[in-house]
Amino acid sequence: MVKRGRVAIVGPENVKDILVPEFLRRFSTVVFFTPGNIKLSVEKTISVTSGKFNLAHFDYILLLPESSEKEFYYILARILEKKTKVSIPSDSLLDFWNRPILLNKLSGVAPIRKTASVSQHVAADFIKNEFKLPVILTTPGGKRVYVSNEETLRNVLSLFSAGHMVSVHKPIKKAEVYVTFISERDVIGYYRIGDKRVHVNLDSKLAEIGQNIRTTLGADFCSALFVKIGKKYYLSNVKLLPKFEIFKKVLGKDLASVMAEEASRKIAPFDIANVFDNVFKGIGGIINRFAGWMDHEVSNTRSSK
Amino acid sequence: MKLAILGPLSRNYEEIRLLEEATKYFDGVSYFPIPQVVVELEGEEFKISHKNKNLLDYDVILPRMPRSYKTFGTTLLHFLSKAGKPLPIEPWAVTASHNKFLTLTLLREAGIPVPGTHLALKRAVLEDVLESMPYPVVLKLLYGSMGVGVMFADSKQSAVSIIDAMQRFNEPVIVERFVPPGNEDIRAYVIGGKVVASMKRVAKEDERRANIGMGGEGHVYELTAEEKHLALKSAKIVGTKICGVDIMPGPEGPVVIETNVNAQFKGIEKATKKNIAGNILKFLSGV
Repeated sequence: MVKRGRVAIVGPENVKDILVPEFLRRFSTVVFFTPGNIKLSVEKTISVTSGKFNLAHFDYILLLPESSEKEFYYILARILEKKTKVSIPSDSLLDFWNRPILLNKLSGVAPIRKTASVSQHVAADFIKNEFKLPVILTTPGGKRVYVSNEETLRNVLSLFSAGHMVSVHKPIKKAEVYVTFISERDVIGYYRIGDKRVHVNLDSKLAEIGQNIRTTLGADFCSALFVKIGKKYYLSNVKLLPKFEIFKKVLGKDLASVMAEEASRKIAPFDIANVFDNVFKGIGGIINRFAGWMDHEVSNTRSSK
Repeated sequence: MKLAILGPLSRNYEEIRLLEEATKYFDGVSYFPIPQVVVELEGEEFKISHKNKNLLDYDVILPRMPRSYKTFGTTLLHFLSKAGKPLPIEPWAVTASHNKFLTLTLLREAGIPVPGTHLALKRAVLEDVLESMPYPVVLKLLYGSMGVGVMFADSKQSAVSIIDAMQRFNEPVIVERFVPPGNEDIRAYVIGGKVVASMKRVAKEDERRANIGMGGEGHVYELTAEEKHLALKSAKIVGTKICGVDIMPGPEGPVVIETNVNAQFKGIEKATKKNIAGNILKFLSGV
């Protein structure tokens, strides 16, 4: 296999050893960054750097964000998407951790259950009257709390100061949950009930919904959770950081390999069409690419001495 | 026309002034504390309500969104915008304006002069910046308002200790180039594409932050043509028609240091004797 292109992966440390080896099979250079190693700068130019690396000089940036640094990833994506290919557009990241906005954005392509968003304990009466207990509360950090009595409801809501958003929906008895991973070419998943996880062949309808979710977000990859009620699948959540180990264990599928393969298709070969594309975008495009290539090659030469 | 003001639980000077002036321009006005509003979704349908009132029944919405309501406020504005309600603030502008680094990124992209600024989650990543920047430097938390969370370091050692303390908040840290003279700045209040008032804010003795909330004093000030241009362009870039724009008159020309989508106006009304509340409502009513 001819290796080409340079990939930067930005994510939590615990996925580095899962992803880097697979990406190195396909790309000439793969560098893993945690958000803590990155500096964003606004001076005469705007840049994203880490040590000697300028992330704009990579051909593809795979972002695997966690909610704890959501706005940092958003700024990162926003800066880099103007300079290179990024695995998810920044405007999708902006909406991503805002649950009602995300669900509403996807409601055109996936069924959504009745959900409320509230931001203070005074909303307890609304929840009690409109939803009836028990309910599931999803906290700003994404934790789900099963609430079956009013005292617990008020106590949980009062943990969050006014302005922090809590989502509410009804729990489902014996919920059948489908956890999927969606890439451009495939939708795979398993079925979860309680602690049990089972490999399933997803039906075409669910696969179609999954692809529609991915394309609506403009993401190269995502993981979507569905709850089946009767014959209908309802979208429950979408994540950008899949559970690699679980997919490998249940499906025997190496998601890192899937992602690397897909990412390799995102990088166009260096050919005449690519050159003309840069010309039409302006001489600056060629100069930036050449400067980036030179910077990379000089760095490699130095580090090899 | 009916006006809905979305604001904090406890009404401040600004919300009280707006309610006072509102009846001159609107047939009806209601105040909705943001934390008590509920958003309900079912499929593609949605409702936004406060007790028995439906916010979608109002013609004009005026959001007053403090930083602490940023996320929920963005949600409310998103759905109000989707329902076709004209808003003086784009939904994304609430997030952008309350994120100091993002604001500077947007402004710089548009060619607006801003102080050299760096953002990182860990101090170690900022070592080269702390080594090379001239002192003093300005250190900020990513989110802060009214001068809270803004600190000055006169040396690298001082900067390192301050950043180490700031990291206990688990927020990214901003290191910004200091723009002299440092103890004064300009606040321009932009409404509907016009600067309706401007003042120079001077920090009190032994203080470098000129914010009124930090004890700064406001004095009426006439913007230069360049400062006016920067203020108007900045408000447009950050997606809001009602905005406080803070400008430092630096030695190499003015630089924009901040935009404020929830700008207070008590200080500027006092300093300039201009009726900011009335101007806001006049703009929203379309008169």
